[in-house]
Amino acid sequence: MTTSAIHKPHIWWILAPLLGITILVGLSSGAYPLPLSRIVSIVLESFSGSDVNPVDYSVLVSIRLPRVLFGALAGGALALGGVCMQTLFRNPLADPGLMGLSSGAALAAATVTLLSSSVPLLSHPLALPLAAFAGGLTITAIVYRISNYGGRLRIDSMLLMGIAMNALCGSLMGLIFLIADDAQLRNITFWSFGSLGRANLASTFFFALAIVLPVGIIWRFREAMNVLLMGEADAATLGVNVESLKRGLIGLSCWMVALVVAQAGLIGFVGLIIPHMARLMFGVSHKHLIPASLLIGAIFLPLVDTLCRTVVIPSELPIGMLTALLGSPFFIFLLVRQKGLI
Amino acid sequence: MKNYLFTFVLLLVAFSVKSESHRLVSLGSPVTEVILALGASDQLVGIDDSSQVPDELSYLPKVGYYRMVSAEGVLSVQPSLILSTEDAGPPPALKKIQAASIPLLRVTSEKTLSGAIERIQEISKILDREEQAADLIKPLQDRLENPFKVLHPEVKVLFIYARGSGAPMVSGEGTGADEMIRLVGAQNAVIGFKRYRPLTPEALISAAPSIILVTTHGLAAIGGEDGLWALPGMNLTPAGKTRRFVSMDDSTLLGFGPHTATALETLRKKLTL
Repeated sequence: MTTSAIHKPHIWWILAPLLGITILVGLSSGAYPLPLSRIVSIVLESFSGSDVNPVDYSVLVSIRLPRVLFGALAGGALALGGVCMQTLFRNPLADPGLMGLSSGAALAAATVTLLSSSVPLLSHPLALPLAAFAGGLTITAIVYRISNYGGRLRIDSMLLMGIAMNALCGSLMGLIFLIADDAQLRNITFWSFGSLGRANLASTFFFALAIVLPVGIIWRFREAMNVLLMGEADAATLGVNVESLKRGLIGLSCWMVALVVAQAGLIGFVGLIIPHMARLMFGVSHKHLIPASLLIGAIFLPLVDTLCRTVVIPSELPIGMLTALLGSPFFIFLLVRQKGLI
Repeated sequence: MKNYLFTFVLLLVAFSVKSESHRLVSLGSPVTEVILALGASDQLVGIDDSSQVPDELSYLPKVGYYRMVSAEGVLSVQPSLILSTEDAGPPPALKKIQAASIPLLRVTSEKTLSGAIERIQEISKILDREEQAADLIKPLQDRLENPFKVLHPEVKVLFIYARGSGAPMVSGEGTGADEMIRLVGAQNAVIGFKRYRPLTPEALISAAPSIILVTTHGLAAIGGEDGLWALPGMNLTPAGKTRRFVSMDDSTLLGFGPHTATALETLRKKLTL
């Protein structure tokens, strides 16, 4: 638990300008030609009330702005969710997927896609995000309930239950793949790759509102989280209410991650890599880890999304694919390093 | 009601943009095929990944797969009109495109002869090329009115659809392949289920097809003719014993567009050889 003192104060100084640059880069790159200078003039023109080219305006305001903003918020939320899980499991390889959240959401989303042709209500645009949100939280709640031994939450049991739930959801997914038609199959696959392209300004605003409180509460847990890293028994002796801390961390992180999944589909590995980058750069104390993870996540996701939007212009890559592509080698590196091979 | 509204909007747009040249983005190969057949390829500025165009149009930017286009990608080619099939998507992207006040018109994606006719009529109205459309529609209409004589009931055709290295599928009722088999007067060897199902050895044997129908891409995906006859259970079917199969180009067989009348004649000829 060594945190070098020289790093600490630099978090905001280093990361906030980088976040600003990321947002500007994200806003000014894409298939449609809309450089920074044009963006400035669009903003000026719309403020002065003169006519703006409607295509320019909607590319900026209804396509790029929500994507970049939602990407930043979602990246921060996923990274913080990862921090909570890694602290809770006291394992650097943990992420909310471990509790069945992703597979539950995917299963619910696939079910809605499958049934939407026969049940009219399910073809409503809100049906899929709501189902994914509820599905992710339901599976997590089941894992949580079963691992609850008379008020004491057993982390080892949660891990095993998570594995069992992932396997169960996986096999039900297989069943859906078998009955789904070609179009539904493609929609399910595309959904599970994840995309920030479904975000609009309203959903981004709603998302921001929904994560403010959880982030604040997790920030208040920072000291207790440091103590929890030493082990549950030690934490309890030091006066931390371990059970309510564990419940809080699970509830809040799953809430945030389920919201991201509902809006953007599965975006893997952000919750895993970012906390590690933050630890390597700013130390393990949650006082630094929490803001650093939030900010690095908020930089990483819009940056990857900008790559997705620009490498195969005018088409685009699914973001979940690229985060996994960048994340998997890093994950393997972590495992190998943990074995002491490097 | 929705349909009336659609036709109304269609007519309105068709009227207001009459004999104007567009900057067209086409989403879905059935739409692209009709645009090409109507001789309007010079108006295309973008197509989707599923659309097939002749080599001289290969410079056209591809804006992604039609079910999963990116709003900005479509807008980046600066279209004045987007034509798509009903199943283009995703809905949020299409909404954003419409929010940029670029008209987006959808035509039917039905995989039948009358669907093909309807598609050509709708698109020709929008592009103001109804005269050219009449020539394309006539052979299709003729075929619709004078269907092929029903073949001997022993001619049972099984369409096997394979893509990549995944398990091959067979086509049940309501699929494009089923429609084509029916239209040439033959019988689909598998009945009793809709859409596509994975092919199993026992199902293959009990379907007892006398002829196997494949697409050229599909045949390549299962390892050519050798791969086809090596499918488990194939050697116990009449088709496997006589080694009878028909292979046709993917978009010709399943395109349901201007070339479908010729495709039906070719298929009928190949089946009755």
